[in-house]
Amino acid sequence: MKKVIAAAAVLLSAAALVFALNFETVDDHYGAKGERSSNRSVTLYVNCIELLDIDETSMSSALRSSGVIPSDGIIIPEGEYPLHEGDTAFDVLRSALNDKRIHFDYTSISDKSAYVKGINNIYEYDCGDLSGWMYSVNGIFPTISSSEYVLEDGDRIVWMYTCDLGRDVGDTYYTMNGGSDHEN
Amino acid sequence: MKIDCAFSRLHPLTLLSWFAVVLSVTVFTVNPVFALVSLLGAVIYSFAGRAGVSFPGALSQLLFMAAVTLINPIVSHHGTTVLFFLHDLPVTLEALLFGALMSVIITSSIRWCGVLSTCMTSDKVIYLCGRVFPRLAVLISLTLRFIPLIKDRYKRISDAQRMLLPSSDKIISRLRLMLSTVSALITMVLEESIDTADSMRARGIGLKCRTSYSDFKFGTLDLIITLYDIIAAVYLIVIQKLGGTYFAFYPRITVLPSASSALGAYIVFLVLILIPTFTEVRVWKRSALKT
Repeated sequence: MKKVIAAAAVLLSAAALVFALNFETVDDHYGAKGERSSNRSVTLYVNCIELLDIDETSMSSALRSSGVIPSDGIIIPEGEYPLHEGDTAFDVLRSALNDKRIHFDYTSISDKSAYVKGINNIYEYDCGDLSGWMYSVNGIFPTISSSEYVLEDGDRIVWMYTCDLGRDVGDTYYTMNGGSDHEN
Repeated sequence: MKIDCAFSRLHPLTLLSWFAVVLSVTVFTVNPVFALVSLLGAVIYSFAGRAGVSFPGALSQLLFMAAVTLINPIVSHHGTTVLFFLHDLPVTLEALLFGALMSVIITSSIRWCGVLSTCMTSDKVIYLCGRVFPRLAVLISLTLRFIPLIKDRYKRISDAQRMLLPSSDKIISRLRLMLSTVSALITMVLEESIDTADSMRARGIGLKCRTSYSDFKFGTLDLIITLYDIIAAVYLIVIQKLGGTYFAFYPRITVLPSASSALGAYIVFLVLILIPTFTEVRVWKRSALKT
C-alpha cells in the first residue's frame, strides 16, 4: 500500500512540475500579445505545394483524408510581417503561426537549436524518409537552424515542405555536385 | 512452479497457435476495439483460471496505465484538437487518447505474457522444439538439468572445503577457499559431462530413428481450437489488408462507425479471446455434473 501511495505522490508531483512550466489555455496562447509595431518588415510564405502531386502510396491515408493539407498547398500566403530587433527566421514563423492560429510543433534544446517538426499537422517523414520542413531566405537555403539565422529588413523567407531532402524545392546541398555551402 | 489449470492442459501446439494469434493482434493492430477486447479477456480469465504470474494488483496496474496515458501528450503534439498549451507546445486530445490506447495494449500484453509463462512450461517448450530444432531441444534440456545440479555440487564442495582448510577472516584465505572449491567443482563437472555424453550416446541421442516420449494428447478440443486459430488468423490478416480495421489518431481520430465494416473481425477476435475462460468453465460444469 505504501508503494502505491509513493508512486501516486511521484506522479502528482511530476504533473505539478509539468504544469508549472508555462501552462496556457488555447485563448491565452493565441491571444494578441501586444502588437509591437516596427518600421522594419520581412515577407513570409509557408507552403506545402510538394505534397499536392505526391503519389498515393507515400502518404498515409489518414493524412490525405483529414483535410489538413490545403487544396492549393498554401498554409500562409505571402505577406509582410513586422521585424523586431534580433528576430530570427524561427521567431517570425512562430509569431505568424500564432497570429493565424495554426498548429505548430517544434523542439528546441536551447535558444539556438529549434527544429520545426510539423506545421498545421503536416509532420516530418509524413511523405517518406526524405520529407520534412525546410526554409530559405532570399532564395538561399541556410545551413544553420532557423533560430540562429537573424533576419534583415526586407528579407523574403519561404518555409516549404520537401519530399526529397530539399532537391524538389531547389536546394542543391544533397545533389551530386553539392551546393556552394558544401565546403563549410 | 507448476500451475495445473484447464487451459494449460491443452496440447502445446494449440497453446502456441493461440498465443501467437492473440499477441500479434493485440500488439500489431493499433486498434482500440482489439486492444480493449484483449484486456477484457485477460481480466476475465484472471478470475476464471489460476494461470498468470501474480502481477502487482489492480491498483498498480491502473496507476501504470494512467502514467502511460498522461506521458504521451507531453511527448507527442500531433492532433487537431488542442486542449491547452504546455511550454508553448500544444497538448492535444488525440495524443491523450493514443496514450490511453498504448496503455491498454501494454497492460493486456503483459497480462497475457504472464499467462503464457505459466502455461508454457519447459517440457512443452522442449516438446515443441524437439521436432523442428532437435539440437535446441537437447541444449535446453541439458541446461535445465545442469544448473540446479552444479548449484547443489558447489554447496557441498564448499562445505567440505571449509572443514578442511583453516578458517580465517583474511581475504587471502577466503580467496584460497574459493579457488580450491571452484577447481574441484570444474573437475567434477568435466567428469560428469563425459559420463553424460557416454550415456547419451548409449541411449541413441542424435540417431535418426530415435523417438522421444511425450504424453501430450491431441484431443478433439485441441483440434477445434487450433483450426479456429488458423481460420481466425487468416480472416484477421485479410481484413487488415483490406483496411477494414484501420484506425488512425493523427491528425484526426478515425470515426468508429466507418470502421464497423470489420464487425466480423471484432466478433471473431472476441470469441478467440474467450477460449481460455471457456476451457475453465467447461471443467467447472463437468465437475458440477459429477456431484
